[in-house]
Amino acid sequence: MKRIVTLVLVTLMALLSLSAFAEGTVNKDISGYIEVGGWPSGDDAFKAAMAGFNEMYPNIEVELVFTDTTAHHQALQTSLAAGSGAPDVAMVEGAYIAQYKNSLALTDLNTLGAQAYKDDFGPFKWNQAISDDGKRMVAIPWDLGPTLYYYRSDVFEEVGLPTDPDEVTKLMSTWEGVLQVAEKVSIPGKRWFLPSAAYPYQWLFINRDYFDEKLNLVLERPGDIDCLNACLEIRKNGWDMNVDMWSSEAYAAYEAGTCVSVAAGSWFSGFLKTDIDPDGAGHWRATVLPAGMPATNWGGSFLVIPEQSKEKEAAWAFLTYMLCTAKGQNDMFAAVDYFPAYEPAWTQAPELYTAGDPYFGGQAPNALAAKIAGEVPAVYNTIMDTTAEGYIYSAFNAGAEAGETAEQIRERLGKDIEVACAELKLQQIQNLKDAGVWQE
Amino acid sequence: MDKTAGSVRAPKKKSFGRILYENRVAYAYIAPFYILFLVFNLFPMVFGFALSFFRWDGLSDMHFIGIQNYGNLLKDPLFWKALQNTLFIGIIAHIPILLGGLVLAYILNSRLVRGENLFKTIYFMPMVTSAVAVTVIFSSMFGYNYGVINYFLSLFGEPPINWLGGDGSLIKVAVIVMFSWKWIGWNMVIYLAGMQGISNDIYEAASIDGATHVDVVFKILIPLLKPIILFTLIQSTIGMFNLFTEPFVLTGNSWTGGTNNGALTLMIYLLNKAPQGGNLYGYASAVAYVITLMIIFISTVLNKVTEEKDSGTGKGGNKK
Repeated sequence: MKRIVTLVLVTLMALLSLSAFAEGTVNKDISGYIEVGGWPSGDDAFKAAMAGFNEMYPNIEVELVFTDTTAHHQALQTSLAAGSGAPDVAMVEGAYIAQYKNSLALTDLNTLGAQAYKDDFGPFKWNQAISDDGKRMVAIPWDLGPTLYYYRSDVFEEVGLPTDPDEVTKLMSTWEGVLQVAEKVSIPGKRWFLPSAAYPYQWLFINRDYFDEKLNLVLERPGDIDCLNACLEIRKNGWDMNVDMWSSEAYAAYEAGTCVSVAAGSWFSGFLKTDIDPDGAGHWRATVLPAGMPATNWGGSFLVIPEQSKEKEAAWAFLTYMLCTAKGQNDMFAAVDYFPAYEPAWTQAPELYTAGDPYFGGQAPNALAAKIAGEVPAVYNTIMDTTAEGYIYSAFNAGAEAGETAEQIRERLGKDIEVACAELKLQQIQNLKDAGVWQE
Repeated sequence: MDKTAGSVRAPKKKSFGRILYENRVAYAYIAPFYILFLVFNLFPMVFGFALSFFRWDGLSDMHFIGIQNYGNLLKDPLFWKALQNTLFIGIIAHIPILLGGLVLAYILNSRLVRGENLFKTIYFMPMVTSAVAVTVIFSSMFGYNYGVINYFLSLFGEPPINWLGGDGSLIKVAVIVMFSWKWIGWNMVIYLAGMQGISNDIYEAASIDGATHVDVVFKILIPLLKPIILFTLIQSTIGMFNLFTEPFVLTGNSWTGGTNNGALTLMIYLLNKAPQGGNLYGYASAVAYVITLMIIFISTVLNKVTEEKDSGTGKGGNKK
């Protein structure tokens, strides 16, 4: 009898606390001590928003446990498998989310009331955090990486090209236009249009939508052959540095103005300002991808709550304050340029998005990023995506070196990806089978 | 004291717990090693072996698949490419490592040069320097547009060479240079210690008998150094299988090992399966076990080769 009473009481309490979450009301009395784990500059972001959080939840104590991206994901993976040692709230990078979305080691945030925020996030990011069977939601999106094309306006001006972003976009709206610009800005052996001619082709895939729901590789896409031909033309004429965009050579060239353009997620603005070209205010402008390429997203992270957390209520309070309030997201955005996935943030502090940025000569790349963010379509992600991505650069270089045509390079890439992803594909199929959504 | 206690109770078979209890002080003393060994060595080894028969991503359910991981591994062209690259880099690099190490040690041992300790330190430095830091330096030396090496080539009117890019075949050159540069000093220090352990009497006797420099090197020095050379060979062979940071950082943290998998080593291949890039823990365990088998095989072969030669020249001391 006593046991039954206890059971009933516990169930009641659980139900009560769940309903309190579901209503999304702010309960200032939540108390607890939580650990939050991630990689820089996430810690700077949380510190910037902590004052607001402490005001709303004075009884929650937060400790930040930060390390580098790789070490963080390894430690998280290990502690989730071991069942203990994970932080109460953890960052997960966009490239890793497909590996985690089916994990039972992460709390189903639907039970904490995640659905209340569904309409505040674009489907692109929101859907990535939903399990394959569609029932569970393991993460809330933090930031987006709307892909921007960054270029050195000082060099454009020097060679007599327009520098205004709209005019540049118009000029580069076709591959012929892109090649004209490439020719004008390049001085073979001294100044280059791009770090590598492989990148325009990679931009076509940067949503990481390599596979469809049947796990077929989707290589052919509109304009890909034209794009590859333009890439080959750039390589043939020596208009690219022929190095990795993250190499020290490329970094030095961005700063020196000898590599005049590069594309990346809008978080690259922060990279330029703090790391690559800190004294380069006024050198750079940003616009949309050239040749009418569709709006894409490049990276961006999530927050999860491990199932093993003993402080889920406090963890959820922290997570929702940081990611699902305009103030939390915007305080962090102002500090570290992580573009909020939480859309109400864009309108509640519009000045953050529309104000001219002195670093970009008064232009507002974030206004552009907001526009792109609204256009990114929902895509299907798999655990094979990052491996597939690695082969674009390799296959293009190998193909170009061997004198192959655009079609041959595409075919080579297809073979490379199939071989490299073979084992991952078996695991992916297993995951889908476990979720009950795989049909042979 | 223990012994008497044991003999008194001899007729009764003692329980394991009883033995533990009676020798608790001794066991307490050796416990730290065994506990660490159990947790960090034995358990992962056994668990890893079991894991190699499962498909498991570390997060969801484990699925037993028999030897499928091993089968798929042997069918994967990338695995063979990685093995081929690793052996190629390792074997070519061993030429400068062995010869360079011996020559340097011989020069330092001959007392032709002063400041032996200074040179020892300098040559040994690469072994203890952070591989990442070193690779950053080397990658700027081998850089395509701004690299020092291409700059020197340009002085002779040669066009720049894309060492780290191109069709991927030249990345191996850079890796071999780095790998040898790192291991030469280590080998030299070990050889030097070995040479200094050879009694001067032998040299003196040889020179009285009219032995030339060449005779001394090939008939005295190298035969007497054989066990030491074997030791360094096994060490650098393990180093070869563990080759990861150099090719990884040189190719810009690329899991493909650069263009055309040019510098894809076994260790890059393994770590890319898990825990980085993928979470294929079962498959990665299978890879790890195959690599382990290869290391054991090569070490055994090396041991056998030197043993045979030893027995040819007479009973060279007790081996076991």
